[in-house]
Amino acid sequence: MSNFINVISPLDQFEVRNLLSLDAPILGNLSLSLTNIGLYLTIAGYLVFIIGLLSSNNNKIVPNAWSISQESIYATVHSIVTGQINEKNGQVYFPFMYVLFVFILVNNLIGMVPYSFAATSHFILTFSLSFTVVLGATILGFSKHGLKFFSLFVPAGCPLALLPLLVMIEFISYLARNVSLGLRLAANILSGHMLLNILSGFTYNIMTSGFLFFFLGLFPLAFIIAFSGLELGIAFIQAQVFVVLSCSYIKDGLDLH
Amino acid sequence: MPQLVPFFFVNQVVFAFAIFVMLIYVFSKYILPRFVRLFATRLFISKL
Amino acid sequence: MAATRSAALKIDWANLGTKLGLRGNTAAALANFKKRNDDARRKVQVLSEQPQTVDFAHYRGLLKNQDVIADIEKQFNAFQPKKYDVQRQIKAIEAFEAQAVKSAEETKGKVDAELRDLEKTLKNIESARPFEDLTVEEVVAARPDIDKRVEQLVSKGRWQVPGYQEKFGNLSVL
Repeated sequence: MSNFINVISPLDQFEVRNLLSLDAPILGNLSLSLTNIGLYLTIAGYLVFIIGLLSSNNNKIVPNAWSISQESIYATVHSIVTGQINEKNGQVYFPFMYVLFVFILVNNLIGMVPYSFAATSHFILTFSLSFTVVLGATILGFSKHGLKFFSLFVPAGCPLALLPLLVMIEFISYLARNVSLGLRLAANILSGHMLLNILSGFTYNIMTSGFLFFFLGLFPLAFIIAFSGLELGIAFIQAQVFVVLSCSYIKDGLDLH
Repeated sequence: MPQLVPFFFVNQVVFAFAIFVMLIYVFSKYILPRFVRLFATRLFISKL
Repeated sequence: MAATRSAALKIDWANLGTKLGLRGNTAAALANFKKRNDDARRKVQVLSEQPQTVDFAHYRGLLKNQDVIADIEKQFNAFQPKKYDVQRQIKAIEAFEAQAVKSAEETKGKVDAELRDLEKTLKNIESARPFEDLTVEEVVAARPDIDKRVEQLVSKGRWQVPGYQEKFGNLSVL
């Protein structure tokens, strides 16, 4: 029993655990509980809020490094929104897109901190976001165009014989947006974290096997560090991709191609 | 996967949306207009 | 006549330009005027030194044709230096002078007002804190219409001030 090895699944880092719960037999059987994902989402929200509030260089006109980073994010998201949706009227969706971007970005980055928890690696979370965005864009399209919204499924200039097939394909692709948007984000974060977890488990085993192996293990360690840098880039790129696609779906709902 | 347990599912989604909606409100009402204000002030100063 | 001439002689031409700090067109005009004045005075000098009488008796004894002499003598005696009516021109000059003085005074008032304004601005600049410490609040306190404009933009759903990116560039990373 002494050499029992506790094998931890690489997926173990994504387990949801109950940290604090309050079972209150009021209002039916209400059970309030703080899980680890809830805790990290709260931390992310708090960070987003505090950084947005404080990094303004004391309201001075001349920016410092903190406020110029904020302005850069602002300008980036703004250019995405105006570029994807509409130069003028698309700006209405800017606050939503800004918060979406910053929220996903901060959650991705929090996930990069060792021993923390990547909330965006959960399909439930990303799917709920992506389904909300696509559903909202659909409602927007219906409220703006009424039943003409269905012309979105008819590609321009297609022969009549192919129409039923093409409409089917377009409809499926429209439904697939829901899934693909959330899947892309969660799968990227999940796979990156799993890869890092597995690699570091290997490297740990190599480096603890002997004196020579310790130096041999430095190579995979360097690889892990390089990969962490890549993950950092992915954290930014996935947040940006999510926002760009959300914008293009809203544009589809507004303009019907 | 415990997030498929209905309890954790609802818990996660409620947390995410509560925080998300709160952030949207705070940002669109307080923090993002501050940027517009800063830009407008800079533009005014540069025209002096 | 003598008074004006002496006044004209009293003008210190060399100093006039530098004392008033004249430059460009005005200085050129002044130099031109001085030249004209000098020329006129020299001409008067030269002319007044020439003999003004003609010895007709001498010519009578010399020439046979007495009629020509008599004619010339008659014409010579009839010649009167033309009198210019300077009065009118002086009046015009006086009117011009009054006008010039008036406009000069006006200009002086304007310049004084501008100077006071500039001094105020200078004091403002000197008493103001450095530009790096200027906050949005202070500028908005001085110009409340900035806040009004921001409110208007945000309520219309515009999140960019028109003309900002042309002036300060786009910080977008993409």
